[in-house]
Amino acid sequence: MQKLGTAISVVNANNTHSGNLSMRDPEDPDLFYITASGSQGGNLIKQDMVPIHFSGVSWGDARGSTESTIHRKVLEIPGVNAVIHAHYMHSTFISFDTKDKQLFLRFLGTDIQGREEFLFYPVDLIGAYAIGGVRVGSYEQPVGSSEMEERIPQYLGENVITIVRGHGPFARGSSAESAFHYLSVLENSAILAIFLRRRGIDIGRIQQSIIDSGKDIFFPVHPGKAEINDYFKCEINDPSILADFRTRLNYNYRQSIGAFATGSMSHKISSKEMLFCSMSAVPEHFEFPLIRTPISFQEDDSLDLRLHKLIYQNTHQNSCMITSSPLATAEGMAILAEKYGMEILIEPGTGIPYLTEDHPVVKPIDGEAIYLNPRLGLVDISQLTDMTPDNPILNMLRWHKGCCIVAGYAVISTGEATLEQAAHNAASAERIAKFRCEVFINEKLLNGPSVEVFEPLE
Amino acid sequence: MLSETMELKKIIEENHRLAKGYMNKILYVNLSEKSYHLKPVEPKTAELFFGGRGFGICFLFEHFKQLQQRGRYKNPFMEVDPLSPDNVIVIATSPATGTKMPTSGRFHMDYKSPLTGALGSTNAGGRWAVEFKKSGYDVLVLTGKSPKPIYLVISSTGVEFVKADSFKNLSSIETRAAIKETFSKKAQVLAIGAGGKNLSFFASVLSDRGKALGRGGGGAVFGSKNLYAIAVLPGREMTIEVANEKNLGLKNKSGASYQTMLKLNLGKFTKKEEHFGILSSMGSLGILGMVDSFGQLVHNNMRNTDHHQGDVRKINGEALKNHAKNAKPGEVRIEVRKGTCFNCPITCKRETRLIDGQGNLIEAGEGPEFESTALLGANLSIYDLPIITQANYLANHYGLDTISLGATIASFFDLYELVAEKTNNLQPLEKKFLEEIEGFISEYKTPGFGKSNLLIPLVHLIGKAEGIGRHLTKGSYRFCERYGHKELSMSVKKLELPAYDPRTSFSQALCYEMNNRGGCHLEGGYTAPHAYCAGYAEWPADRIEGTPLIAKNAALKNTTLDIICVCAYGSFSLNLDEYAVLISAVTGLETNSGTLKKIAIRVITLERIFNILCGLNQNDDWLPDRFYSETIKVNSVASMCRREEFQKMHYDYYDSLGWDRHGIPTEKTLNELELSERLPDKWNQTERKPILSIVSLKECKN
Repeated sequence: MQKLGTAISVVNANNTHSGNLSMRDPEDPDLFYITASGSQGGNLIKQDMVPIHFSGVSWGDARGSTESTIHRKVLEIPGVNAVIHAHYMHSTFISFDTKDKQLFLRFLGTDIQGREEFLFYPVDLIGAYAIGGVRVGSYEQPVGSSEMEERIPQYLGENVITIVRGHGPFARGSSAESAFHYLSVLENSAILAIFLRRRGIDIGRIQQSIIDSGKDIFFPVHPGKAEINDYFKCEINDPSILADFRTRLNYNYRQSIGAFATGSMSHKISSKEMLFCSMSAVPEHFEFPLIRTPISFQEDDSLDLRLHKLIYQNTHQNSCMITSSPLATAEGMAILAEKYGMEILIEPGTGIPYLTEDHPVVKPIDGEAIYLNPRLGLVDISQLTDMTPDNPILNMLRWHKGCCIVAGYAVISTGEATLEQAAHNAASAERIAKFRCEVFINEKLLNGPSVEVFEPLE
Repeated sequence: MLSETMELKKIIEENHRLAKGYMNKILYVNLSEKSYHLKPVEPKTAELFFGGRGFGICFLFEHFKQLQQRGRYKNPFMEVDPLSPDNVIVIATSPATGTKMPTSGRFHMDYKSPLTGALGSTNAGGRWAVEFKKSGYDVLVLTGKSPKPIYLVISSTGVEFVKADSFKNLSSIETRAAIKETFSKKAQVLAIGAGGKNLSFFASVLSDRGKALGRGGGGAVFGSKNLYAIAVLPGREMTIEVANEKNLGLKNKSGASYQTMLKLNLGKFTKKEEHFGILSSMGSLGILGMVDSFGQLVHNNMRNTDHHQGDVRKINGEALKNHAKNAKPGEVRIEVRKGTCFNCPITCKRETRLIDGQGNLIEAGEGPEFESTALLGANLSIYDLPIITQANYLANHYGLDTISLGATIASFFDLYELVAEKTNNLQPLEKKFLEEIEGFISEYKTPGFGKSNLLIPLVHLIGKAEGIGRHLTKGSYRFCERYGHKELSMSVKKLELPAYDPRTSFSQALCYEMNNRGGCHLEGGYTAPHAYCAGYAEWPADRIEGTPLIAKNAALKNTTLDIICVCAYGSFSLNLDEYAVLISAVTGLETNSGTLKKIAIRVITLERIFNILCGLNQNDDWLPDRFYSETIKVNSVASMCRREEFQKMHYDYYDSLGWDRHGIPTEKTLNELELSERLPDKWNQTERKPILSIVSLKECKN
């Protein structure tokens, strides 16, 4: 609970004293622990972990969070062992939406008491598969109220996460790590949605299309992630390797380059073998998986692992990182829509040339990035289905210093020698997107100069 | 009977000058003469002191000042015996009392305390104050002494003095029942038991069957005046006018009362049982487990806080709630039902029934509450809930303050264990002690912690003032002093400390020390809950820098609650600004937390002056030496109060209230608080210093 509290705090998902998390006692089925009211999530002490009984009231009910009854009811759902509530800024921000605007949310209806319900559907592949459509409930009293005690457990019976409109998300999981993963993915998808909307993209259309056709039809691939739990297989003992991976994982998490337990990173160690971590963003003090695996394709390889292998089989890159990078991923989508029309985001894979002289790119506008990557490669999401040497992602990495955005999915960053090189690309891509978007907004809101003014010449 | 006298006309004329919520009548009762008269509330008095504890100290002070003006005493504050006819009892309500403002059933009582020899100040809930106010009064001032036992019957038409000879042998609860039987079942009664009649220095006054004006021996002051009870009869109830009825309406969703109820229903302590609110589910005893989890729960006369694992679970709120369910066939069980005070959604009161193994009712009553259980149980190493419950019933019957009762018994056990360990070199007073408890030992065997079979006999002995109980009725300080070991009295200003060990919270320790009525966690500030429920748990328990301000602000908050007459538990969910909104709705005055705190500072300062005039000084602002010399371990961390640091905190605390380094309010402060003119003619700060006998730090330690 302490390391989770700290992890949530370092990405500013709570103020110093807000939010709450609970976990079942693994040995006593009548007991769970919840953070104390007024405790500092980022600096929990022993007394902040308060025992509460399912079977009846105890003193812990007064010391525990104001929302402990919500936790109690959610923890009673079979298979749920942890609940987290935090006030992630963007996940909360998207819920400041209304029926008549529907900037980020789709209006579902009104219940008999006049309270509105909405749905937030992530438009990125990772979000769509990790959390799917997220119910956003309106409440007369959006803090610790009895209506929340009634409806949140109901929503969390249907999905792993819900948002209290204007307040923040609640997530549940079979482990605290899985609940944390869902929150982190929601925040990633919310950032992406906000960014797209500000870049002028009608995400409502994309969301409706996903809802209408179903995610398995809409998206060309399934990311194939296993459920996150508190045990990760680590086959590597070399402390220097572990430290190297840990440094990158921690940095990506801290800088919101990746959502917790999404993405992947690897290092090729021979012509036949690689070290693979099925995550690219993990907070300090968390365990992470690291396996030794052949570079040849295996039947049960995940999407990410196949991409790593494809790259190692066909390029001279020796390190690779796939990060959910919400800003860069959104910027890639926006540029594709600007260049090829909105349809390309609804029906990807049609009409985009990936030729040497003609292919989509994202152009940095800040000097530091231009020096590193005059262009970032860009492909549409349908390219994830192609595991052949013809996949344009490979050319993008060759042509653009080892960095390629897969619009709607992630950023693929590679290095010729070290993991550090891939990390540099991933960090840079996110900042490139941020600069571009801010200048774009200045242009629209403040009549500022356009992004094109600062783009490097062809 | 009261008629339309000139006085009443004057009252009516004055009425428009007062804020709403006041009935504008002070009822003065002279018990010696069996007479009474009314006076209006002076608008300036209302402005400066508001009500409740504010009125309490105002009229208490006024009474002693008048005694001085009459010339019978040079310094009546110091010279008047608290148990003499010249003491006074002031019972005060506030404009909020009896209105729709949540938890507004409380009232306050002030007197010179026989236990402390200084300020007696106590507060209770229930419905008595509501009926009193609806009978048309704000304040009751009782003076003199009835030559024979009487009780008062107050109604909107006046005061009746009724003979109480037949009540001599009745307990407080039986007295209440007898009066109800005679007049009306709806009568609200304050009554004393044998404790008050026997002039026990920690005798209480019972409101209902278990809500007590408990601390400081107010029951003995009743007894000394031959006043056994005060009943208020419902009848031609008067309307309590408020400024904004709509704002106080519970159906008005934007109104202050509705918003308050909403916050109470959301607060973890105060929310309803179905939402796992601990006070509504388990009563005040619900916090016992939490206090123990913080390592604060007193043990063995506050030697430490080390309870054996599992013991506390036998006496905590969960144990009381589930006692009947968990009792095995043939065992004594406690059946529990909820109770509450006027207009209070918190429902922290517990009505209990003790049933024997055959299913027969042993007794029924209210409680036990948290403090009672801590002091009659944990602090004596007694972890037997039925015995604690029965002791609590007895304390209510006798009319004894359960905190002082338990703490005094603890000092007895401590003293015995100390003396018994000595094989030789017994001091004369220690020999005297052993001689005086011979009879007790021969009947009950040796006293000591953990001997639960001794609790009930000891409560009886104290209640009846028999045997060793006669000496125990004087409280722990005088009892231990009698045998040369006053250091074993866990008290401040001779008032016994409550259930939170001060070494576990220096801010609470400072509140204990500075509180005007003595060692108490309420009137002087209640910082302990900040660690559990109100956030900011990280304030280090042993921090010095800044703690005086924490303590002062806690004192101001609790004083404000006593002035406006609302429940301290409500303040776990509400802040002073929210109370101020309610007060504005009641009175029509523009009120905020700042204006309320200003009144609180004035009240604390006048109480302080009362104590100074009674002879107390800064040397009385110290915890017992045990807390400065014996270390306890909490969560493996050693803790002890450090005298030099506390001296610094004292200075900072005094300074924060505009008092000098001797704890005497400065002239500037008195002027700012508009108190200068209310002080006795001879009050002069420079004259005060010589009588204070300032001792050095070194002398303090000794």
